Amino acid sequence: MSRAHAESIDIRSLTKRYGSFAALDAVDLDIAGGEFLTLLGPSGSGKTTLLMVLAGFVRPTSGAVKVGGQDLTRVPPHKRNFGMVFQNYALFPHMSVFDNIAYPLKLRGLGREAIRGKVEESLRLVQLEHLAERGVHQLSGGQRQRIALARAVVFEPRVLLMDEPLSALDKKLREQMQIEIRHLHEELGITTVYVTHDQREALTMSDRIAVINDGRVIQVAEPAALYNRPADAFVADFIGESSMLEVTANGAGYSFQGRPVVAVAAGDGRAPSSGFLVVRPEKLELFDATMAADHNRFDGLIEEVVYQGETLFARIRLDEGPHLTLRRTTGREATRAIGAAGGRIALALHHEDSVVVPERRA
Amino acid sequence: MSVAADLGAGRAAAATVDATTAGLRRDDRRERTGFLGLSGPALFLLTIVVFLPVGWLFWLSLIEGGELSLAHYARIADATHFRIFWTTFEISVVVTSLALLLGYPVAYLMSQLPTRWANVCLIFVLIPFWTSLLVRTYAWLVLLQRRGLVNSTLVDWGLIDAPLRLVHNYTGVVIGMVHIMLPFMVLPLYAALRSVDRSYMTAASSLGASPVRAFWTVFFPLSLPGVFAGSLLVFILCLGFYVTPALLGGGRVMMVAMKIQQNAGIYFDWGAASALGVVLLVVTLGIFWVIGRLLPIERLFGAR
Repeated sequence: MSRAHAESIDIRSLTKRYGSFAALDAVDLDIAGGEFLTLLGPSGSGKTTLLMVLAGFVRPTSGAVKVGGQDLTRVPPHKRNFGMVFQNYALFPHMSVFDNIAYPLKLRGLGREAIRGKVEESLRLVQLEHLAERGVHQLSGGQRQRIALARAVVFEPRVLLMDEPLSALDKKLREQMQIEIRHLHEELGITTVYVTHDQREALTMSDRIAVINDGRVIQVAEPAALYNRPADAFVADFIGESSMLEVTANGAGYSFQGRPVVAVAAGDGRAPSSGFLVVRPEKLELFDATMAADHNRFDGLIEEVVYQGETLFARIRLDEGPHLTLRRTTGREATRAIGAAGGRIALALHHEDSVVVPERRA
Repeated sequence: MSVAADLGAGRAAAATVDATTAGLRRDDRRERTGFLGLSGPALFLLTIVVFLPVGWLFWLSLIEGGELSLAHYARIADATHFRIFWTTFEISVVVTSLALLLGYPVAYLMSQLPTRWANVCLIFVLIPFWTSLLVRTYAWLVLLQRRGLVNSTLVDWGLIDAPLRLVHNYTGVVIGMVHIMLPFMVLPLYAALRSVDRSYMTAASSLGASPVRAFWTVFFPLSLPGVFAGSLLVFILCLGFYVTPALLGGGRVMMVAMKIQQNAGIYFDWGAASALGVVLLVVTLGIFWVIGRLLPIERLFGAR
């Protein structure tokens, strides 16, 4: 399949109001050509509304959507030339697999031979060449998913939009499809906007992730940056596990219950005057004397140790009152080092891993 | 514990399992009998109101002067009766087609409205059901007659010079029947159209189909089960329709039901009436058998 010419997407102060409720509140977002960008947020956050505005199915109240520099805000969906994969796949039940994929090509007036060639190429791309003559109802969930994908890219769309396409699949298949979609994206090089509420899926697949809540983009960053340097408490809490310790500014640094804490700034580079220290359970280490120079130290009581297969999870009540969670891989050493519930423990968090975030990004 | 005791305990356990298995099988049987028992009243009713009368109909049609004979059938195998059957089927086809043409857009509109408004529309579709069939038919007679509302309006507006002949003929019968039949078309259509998932149209649109194109290539094919259901219902109702064609046809349009009424009510010739009923039933079943063979309906929509 020929490489699509990757086009950038510019979203400018996009707003969608339903009465007094703002589903999208002045959203600005630049998506680079060929990028895989994920819109991540809880249900009702506005991520699907944003995708539907991009696709042209929801008319925004104000703002603009440009693709490759061309203003598409008022262009109807069937003239946008965007590929779209739906949550329920929306394969036409009265057509065979072949006819489903041929549908967009027929609409574009391609000849019989050209259609056959492109459909076969597209089926090869998703490794389902042998299913061309099947009816849609004869396919498994994973196969439908791939056919929907093949149909969405067969006409070389300018942009590929995906609305939680994997949510109906079971966990194993979902993880396998995440990698496959990622590979397909690399092969086609098409600008892709992907919607999900699954933070792990977003981290696995994306070049960048835009975290959305209450109709606003909270933070846009690469997966590692998003995880390690969240912009506010919402992002820190929504992505991955974390314990939040309330801290206050103290001169150049912060203090936690009167004890000084050394921390780095949040994802947007600004140091809030007060906020939360984000403690990722797997970044905590067992304290030893050599760490004193570049680690923050926390002392507490082990309340509970839970064995979860590949990892071990411990709940620790700090002497200052709040709780921390600690997660270690279940090597023989790690298990012994932590000790049992009821014992005391000293934990260390590297200064680089100590991020202070405001409760809400201004 | 000794080996013998072990064996004894094992045997006892096996006996218990056997007893339970037998019990489960009994439960299965009882459940089946229960289902049969529940459908009993319906079967009984069907026997009383369908099988016995139809059987009696067949029997009567074969009796002439107290003896078994095919005389009734021989008598209706002529041009007059052929024309009556032809008229009946022709009117049924025309009325069904018109009801479909008029009913589809209504059902489509209703299927796209929010449930609240769809229900309001549904009430409007159903209102005619609450009015007597006879009243509605006479209303058409009033509207369509020579000096009726329709003709006088058209003349007043200067659209026509002389009143149109709208009633006591084929036209009147078709107009009246289409009106009566519309709800029977709209209701099954609406149910079918409502069940077509909207995401199919959205998908078609995202793939580049204009709204009109998306309708004809995706929505309409998916609504065909409803089209068949509605058409079948209306067609069958048309075949046996009596009141409206009798009143609006003014004696010029003769359908099978009217001939049956004539034979039974005027000539007291139950045999002839029965024979007509049997022929109508057989021809109708024949037509559906042929349609069923020609249209691969199951294959069209895929077995679910």
